[in-house]
Amino acid sequence: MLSNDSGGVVKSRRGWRAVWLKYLGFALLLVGASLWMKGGYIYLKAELGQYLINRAWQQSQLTGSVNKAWFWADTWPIARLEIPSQGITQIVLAGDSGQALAFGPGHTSASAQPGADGVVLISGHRDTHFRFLQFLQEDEEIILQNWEGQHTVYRVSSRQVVDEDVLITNNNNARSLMLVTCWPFDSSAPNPRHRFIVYAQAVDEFF
Amino acid sequence: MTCIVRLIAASLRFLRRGRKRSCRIVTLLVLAASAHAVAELPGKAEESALLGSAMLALKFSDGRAGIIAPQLHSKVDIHVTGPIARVRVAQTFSNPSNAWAEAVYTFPLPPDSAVDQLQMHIGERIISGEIQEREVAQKNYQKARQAGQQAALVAQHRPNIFSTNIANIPPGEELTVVLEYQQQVIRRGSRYSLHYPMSITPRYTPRHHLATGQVTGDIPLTELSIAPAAVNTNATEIWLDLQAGFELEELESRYYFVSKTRVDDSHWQLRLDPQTHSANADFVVEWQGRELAVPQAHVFSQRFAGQEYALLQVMPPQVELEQYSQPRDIVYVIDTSGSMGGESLRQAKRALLWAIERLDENDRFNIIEFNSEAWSLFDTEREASGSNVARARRFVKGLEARGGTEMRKALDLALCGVCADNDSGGRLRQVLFLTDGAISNEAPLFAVIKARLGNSRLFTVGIGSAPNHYFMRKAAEMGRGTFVHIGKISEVEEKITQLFDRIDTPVMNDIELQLRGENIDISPALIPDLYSGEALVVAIRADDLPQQITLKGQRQGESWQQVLSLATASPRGGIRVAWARKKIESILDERGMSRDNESRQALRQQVVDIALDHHLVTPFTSLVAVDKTPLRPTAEGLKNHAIKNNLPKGTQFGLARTATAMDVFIWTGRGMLLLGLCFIWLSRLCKRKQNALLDVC
Repeated sequence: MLSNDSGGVVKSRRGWRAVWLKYLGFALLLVGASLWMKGGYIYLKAELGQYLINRAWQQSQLTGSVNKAWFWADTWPIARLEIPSQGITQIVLAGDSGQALAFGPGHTSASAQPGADGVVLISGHRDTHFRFLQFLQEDEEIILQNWEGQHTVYRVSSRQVVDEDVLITNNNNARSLMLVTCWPFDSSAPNPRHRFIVYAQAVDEFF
Repeated sequence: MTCIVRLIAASLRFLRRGRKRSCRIVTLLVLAASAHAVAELPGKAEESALLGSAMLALKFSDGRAGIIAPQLHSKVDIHVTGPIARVRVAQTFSNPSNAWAEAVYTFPLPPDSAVDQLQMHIGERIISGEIQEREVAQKNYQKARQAGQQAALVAQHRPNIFSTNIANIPPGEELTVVLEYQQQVIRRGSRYSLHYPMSITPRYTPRHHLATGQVTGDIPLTELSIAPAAVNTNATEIWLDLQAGFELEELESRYYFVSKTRVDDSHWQLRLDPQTHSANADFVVEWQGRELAVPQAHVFSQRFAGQEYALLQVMPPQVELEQYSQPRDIVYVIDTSGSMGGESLRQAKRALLWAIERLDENDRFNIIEFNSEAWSLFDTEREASGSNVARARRFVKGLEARGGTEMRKALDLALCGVCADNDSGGRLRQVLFLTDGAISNEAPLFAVIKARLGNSRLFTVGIGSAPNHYFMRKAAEMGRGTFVHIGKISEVEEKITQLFDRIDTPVMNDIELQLRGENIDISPALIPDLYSGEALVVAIRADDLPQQITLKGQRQGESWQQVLSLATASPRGGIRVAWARKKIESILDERGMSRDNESRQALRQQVVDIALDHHLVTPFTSLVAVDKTPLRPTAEGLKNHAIKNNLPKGTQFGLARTATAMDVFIWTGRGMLLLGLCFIWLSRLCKRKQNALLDVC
């Protein structure tokens, strides 16, 4: 009797726990899958965005007018960034807002225009477009093609880690390019306190 | 992977002890997020190289940059009496370093300002500046600088940009330089306004012009340094004493909060606290007289060095708008260059949309956009029909800022000279130019306007917190139109409505002054058309002023005249300065248009003569003050510092946020998927109950 009783109690408790474990398991599966998809979506947006934007860029090169990659986009391609040594070709978007950076590297509109005198500031996400920045070495060449078809060749002169709240002063006496991304590269904190800056000087230009 | 297995084992142990489930999930999230390795810093050498670089100034929040530069504090006293404002700017430079310093400060002043006084305050002593030809002044200043004497130099670089150089500021001490100028208050109907610029918009210089040296200013404008606007380094305190001469109905400061004190109905005092603002937008004060209290004409006179000077400000009788309406061709020109990016372009687009809404069905219109190139919406002016307006609206909404400011191409398109003459047919042709005027090659553009204007009228709308006032006003003057400044987005509708009311019809054209007497000079020589609410402002110099002046003009096709008495003119100071300033301006305009070297030289000499007579700073004359006692031991070196101007609102740039939570999402997602699978597997084990391996159930 006693053993039977105790056996029943154990059984019911076991059943109760099993049901809870099952529900918890499914809930975790659901949350996990959605989180995973959310991460994947960021990646997909970055990849697919570049593809569509590339098309828009080629079109604007042909027609000479602004072409948005999709009609509701709040940004548009402004330049083409090429780093032969890294095998990188990316289309730079106007503005460095979060909406622009999700689809490609963004040009800070207050900085100099691509190819013009002054500091051209281009930012990209550490996790997607500008992940390659950590491999970029000094003296490597960066080619920036602007909207008017002018190519400017920059050579990397230095790399540096700075605080996120530095302010950049434009200097019109030199033509230079700054590529900016978050630092450290392999952290996954979404809003780190440091930025990694690659600084390059213009060495040549051609059409 | 082993990590996750260990986690599951740990969580199972928790489960057996009957702990709360939420606790486990939190632990998991934290562990997954911190699962990534910590990276190391790249080399330190690059860091210092970048910080020391002259091309790039980086300002750190913790002050790591550590560059010691002279600080500047400006105190501005403005005295307004009637239509003239006298402004006294005291600039105090302090040198926090332990070396002798030279400070160079470049700053904007109103485009019609006549700088005529310079004082240097050293302790109790005051040393007054002398007006000298630019090169001579520069030489004297350099000599004093080398000899270790304290010296100050004020020079003009463009019509609205000046610089002060101060040599030999002792370590840890400060030096005050006071300069004074006079400017005219702008009148629109019974509304008056005064503006004091506080920041410089960086100018665009077309590249081919840089090569040929066509830009007339002698310092390249691109060298003007700009500090982060976030730091209020150049504190400015403004004190304004306003004696309007009539009862005031309204008095307001447009972009800054000021404290006001009433002395009497026509006399007010305003103060702008330096602690409460960053000098990144122009200081604008507007006041309005009570109806009928404002006189229709102000006439002032002054005797100086055997000659008589007079200043007239006349408000002609206004036209009833309903009575008179003429069909128009309006061409809107909008600047979409890189400098217009952000807030400025938003304002310009809003203004343009508002202007299109206001078109009459008899009007015809076209829109021209320009940056490095210029192109138009329609091939020629089209009727303001529903579909055309809708198309224009779409066009305007799609405008984006990029590229350079090749204003010439836009002017060529908009002002087609001859074609406008062919096709007038009693229509008014008006060109509305919306820009921040961020250019530095003004003279060639004025020549284009003059040559191609035909019967068009050019109206300039200045956009942004610090547009190039000189260019806008001058271009409107050459284009026989007017200039309006929109400083913030909330005043777009008001200002555009005002402008439209004003330009609907010219109140008066072909204006001339008739006065008898010997050796009379009237400035400006060519009197512009007057639009609704505009006052005629003329300065006169004569050996002997006549008793009266006759003012003649065309009002709605009829001739009109008015007689003004000079005998009752109230005498006061500053009238000769107003005349000299206007005269110099018209000579400089003529010189800018002239290609012949000899006549340019002759015109330069005229400017120098007038400037020396009236103690004025011009492009060819500077004020210099030198303390005769040497202060700095010549053995000690002198360090040169440039003081940075605050960048106009909306153009400073920091760094973007360049990380996503992609990795966090993917890794936690993966972890939770695995854990979920484990739980489901466990629950199955429990159900089967014959499991002896695991005791968890």
